[in-house]
Amino acid sequence: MRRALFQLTVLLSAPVTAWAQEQEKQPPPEFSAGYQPPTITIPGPRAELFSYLDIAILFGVLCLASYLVLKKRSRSDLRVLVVFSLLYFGFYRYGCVCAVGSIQNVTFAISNHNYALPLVVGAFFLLPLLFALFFGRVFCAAACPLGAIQDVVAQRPRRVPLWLEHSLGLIPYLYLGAAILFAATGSAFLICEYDPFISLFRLGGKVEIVTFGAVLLLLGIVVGRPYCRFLCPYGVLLRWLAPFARWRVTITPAECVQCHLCADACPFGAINPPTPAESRSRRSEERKRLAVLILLLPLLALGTGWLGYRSSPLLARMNPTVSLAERVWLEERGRVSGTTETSAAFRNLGQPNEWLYQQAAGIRKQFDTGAWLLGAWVGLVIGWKLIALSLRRQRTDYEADPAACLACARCYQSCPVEHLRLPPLAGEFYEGPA
Amino acid sequence: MSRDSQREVGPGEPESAWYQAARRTAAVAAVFCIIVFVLLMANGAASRMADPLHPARIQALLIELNKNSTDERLKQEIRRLDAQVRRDYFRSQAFATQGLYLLLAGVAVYLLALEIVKHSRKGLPIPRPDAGRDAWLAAAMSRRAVIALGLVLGGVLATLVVLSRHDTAAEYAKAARKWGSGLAAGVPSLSTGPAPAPGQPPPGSVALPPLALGPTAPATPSGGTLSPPEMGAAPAPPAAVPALPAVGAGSAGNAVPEVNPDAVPPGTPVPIMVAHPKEWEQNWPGFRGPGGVGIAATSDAPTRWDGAQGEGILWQASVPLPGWNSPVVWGDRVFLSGADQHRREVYCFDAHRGTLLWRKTVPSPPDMGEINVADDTGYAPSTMVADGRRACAMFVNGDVACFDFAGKLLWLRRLGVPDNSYGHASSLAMYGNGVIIQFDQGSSAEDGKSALLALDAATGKTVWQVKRPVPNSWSTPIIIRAGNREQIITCANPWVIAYDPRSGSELWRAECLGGEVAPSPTFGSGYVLACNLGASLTAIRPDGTGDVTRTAVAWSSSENLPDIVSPLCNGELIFLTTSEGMVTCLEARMGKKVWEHSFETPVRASPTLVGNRVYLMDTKGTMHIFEAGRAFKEMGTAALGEEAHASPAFVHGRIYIRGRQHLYCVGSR
Repeated sequence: MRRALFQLTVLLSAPVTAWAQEQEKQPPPEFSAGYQPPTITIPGPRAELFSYLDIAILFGVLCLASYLVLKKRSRSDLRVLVVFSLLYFGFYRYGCVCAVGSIQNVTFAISNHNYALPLVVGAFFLLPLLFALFFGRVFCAAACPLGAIQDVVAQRPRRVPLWLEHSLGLIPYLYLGAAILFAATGSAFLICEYDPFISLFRLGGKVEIVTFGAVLLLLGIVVGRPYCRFLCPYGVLLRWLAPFARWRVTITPAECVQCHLCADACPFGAINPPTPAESRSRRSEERKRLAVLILLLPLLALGTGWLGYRSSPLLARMNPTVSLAERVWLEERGRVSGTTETSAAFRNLGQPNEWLYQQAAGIRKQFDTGAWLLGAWVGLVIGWKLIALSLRRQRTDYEADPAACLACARCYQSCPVEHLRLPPLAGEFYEGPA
Repeated sequence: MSRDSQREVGPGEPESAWYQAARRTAAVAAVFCIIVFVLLMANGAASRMADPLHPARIQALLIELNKNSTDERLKQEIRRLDAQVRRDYFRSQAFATQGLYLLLAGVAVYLLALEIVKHSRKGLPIPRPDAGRDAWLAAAMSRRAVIALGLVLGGVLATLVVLSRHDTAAEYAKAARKWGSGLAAGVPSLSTGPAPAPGQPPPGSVALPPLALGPTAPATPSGGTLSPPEMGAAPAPPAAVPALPAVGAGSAGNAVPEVNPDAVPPGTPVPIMVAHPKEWEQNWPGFRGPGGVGIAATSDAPTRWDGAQGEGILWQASVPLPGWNSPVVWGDRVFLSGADQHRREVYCFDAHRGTLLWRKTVPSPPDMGEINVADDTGYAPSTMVADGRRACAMFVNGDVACFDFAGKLLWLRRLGVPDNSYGHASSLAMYGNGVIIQFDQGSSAEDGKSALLALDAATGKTVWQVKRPVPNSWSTPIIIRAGNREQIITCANPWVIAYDPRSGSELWRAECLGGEVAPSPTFGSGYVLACNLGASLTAIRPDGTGDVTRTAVAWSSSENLPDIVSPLCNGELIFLTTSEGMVTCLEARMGKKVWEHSFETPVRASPTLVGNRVYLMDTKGTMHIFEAGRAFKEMGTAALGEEAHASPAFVHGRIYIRGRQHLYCVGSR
């Protein structure tokens, strides 16, 4: 209890310190007393060589993580790599470029032909996916700074009830859909804007975002990697690819003794137990449910798609151009009094209002289509999840869920069969839910 | 949460030295973190309360200083306090940064110690072979939870739908479509124009492109309040003409990028501005200065100099090629153009030392033939325009070239040699990012050759262009803000026509000019003032629409009308100057003559108002300085010692004068 209180106090300090750190530009002096303001210099862009270095380091970390997880099966070595990634990709590189945010760049590059995707961004987007395709989610295990910072604070991770795990696990899909919609329309890079940990890496940022990050870290003490499991949109892509991995986490090197220790050790609920035998009547009931759900899926997608389409006016207001056009229109019609800073700035540009309306109308059209797709996506995700929960998969042993497994190697240490392979216990601590 | 599967060390069992050390380290680290945290909080709160951006004490002193601006002791005190506030602010910032690093280090130690504590207390795990047998039950619960989440999401979407009921986009999209179809048809439509925003200038002022006349605008003469324009009562927009053909593509061996972009559809808006209005007013960006009405922002200018003796001359520089265009000054650069029958050049001088910083030749078209121009026109009569990034020049052969401040040719448009009896001499104007060109040509309006163009200063593309029902003219357009709208005012025979600078749509026109129109219009006392020998001086209210000849002409006068020199108005009085040197002063309200005086010397340059003094340069290079008052009062004369036709530029207490062969800077360092 005391420990938890200490942790609470320490982590609560994060938003306050970020607030204290918040930079404010000083205005220039109002008097000239012979003081010559220094010439404004703009630092040059980071040398291209360093971009290649970042790619090389990411590649190296992914290779090493794959080796440590799949071949050496060493949690302690993996933790060293986690700390390195946290320090390099997090605190040294300020969490940017990150694979998570690169989704938006890729989306924007696809939807906007004038935007050239930088090589480093493309590499950060593709490399983790390629590795997931061959080795599972080794990127989450040790290369992602967002995951690393949560891993470091995960002191007493508890298992989340399965029903909560499944329902909260849908949020990343919705977040991914929204992020793609807003990036494709050039409205916002949601993932970057609401990145909870980047302000910690940069030791400064918006108070609300830092608070969000601190809350997630606090939660991360008792819930393993809450951002990775219940928010991360890039995790969705990794979840799709990881099941195809040729080489992936196998809990036990030999025969499973079904002790359940691995499932208890996994803080992410990513280990599925053997399935119990099932009666014939129950199986028939399950089949009927499955059939109904499959039939309902398109209807559900159409329904939510329609709702999404109808809500596009509101969603489109997230776009600054649409929002400005609306404001200027209302001002022009006399429906609102006064001007806002942005509307006044626009008027000062000397652009015709109609030009703004035309731009906004174009974006609105994109939103009509995009919001329809987003709504349908919401329906599909929920429907598919219900179907997945009704599917019967026969398991005789404890198995790591290839999609959800973050390849953290905690389960290895818990497996008594694994210990037969390892030297005496003194070398490794048992690590799992306390 | 699931129940624990492992047993911790019991209360009676011995604790290892590792455990005890780690526990104490964790405790110390936690206390350390808390102390740092509290200090950081206190520092942050103190920093916020100090409000370094608006320190109360300094604000109070500043108010005091406004009352007594010469109090040196007060200034010293404010400077001292200002420095103190800055020191405190940066000290607080440094404290926060260092504190944060300390806190991070403390947290790292704390987490490490906790890790050791955890592992030191760890016992052996307890197997639970019977666990995980309730999978179907868990799946059923999960389904219910997912359905519940789905319902919540459905509710959220339904709420969004309800909140999206009022879709204003449908309304403004109609306006956009209408506008878009106007563009597609090549017809620039009238914009309803922006609503007056707080801080915008009052109606009836000269517009400085394009954030013209904010609260800090110069004291340009303005007239009475004008009524706002009637929305929707605009005249039918003029028929758009196709973009003028680009002439030539440069000679084969010409390495300069031939910049002759395809014209964009007419009606496309003039894009964003470059310079802040404050910068605009502090410089001399085009013909007759900011606003183009011959009123200097400075009230300080030399009154004595002698070019022949070098007295009062800061520097003098030779201009390689001749030209009657006036100097344009932006920051520490002075721009001029020069040309002869075969070459066209642009020059950039250092405003402080007179050094020729760069000299650029505008590439000649391959089929450059003879161009006949009058001596009074020359080959480079049009004054350049600058916007802080670019300087654009136009030559008598219709070439428009734009350079950046480093002398790099950005673009070149060849509008074709204008059909002009003396040679094209209208100067360039600028609105926003658009270079405005009054391209009047032909011996009669029926020729249909005249047009008004806006070129994108960044690319040279035609932003819009409209036909003008006039023959050739030599007047330069001005841009004003009046009647809650910005207007380009143009003069030619017989029309004074106002255009919307954003789209080129015609706003109003008045038939009041005749003959060969060379004087540029001006604006003052709420009237557009247009004049020409053989017609009249006419005062027009600029708030009308359509043909306002019968409705908006306030008065007209035929006293001593000029044929070349542009009029000057200080808001109360108008000064007309004939080519023979006769200056006539009239009341701006009614056009009644107040006085007249003849300098008995030819004049080509237009007068400039500096404070309450009028500066008028004659062709011999003598500057006549007289009071802008109700009686003629000469305040001095100063001789350049060289023939001069160009209107001087007045910036920061200096005068830049172009003589026949030299550029002079009058003033002191």
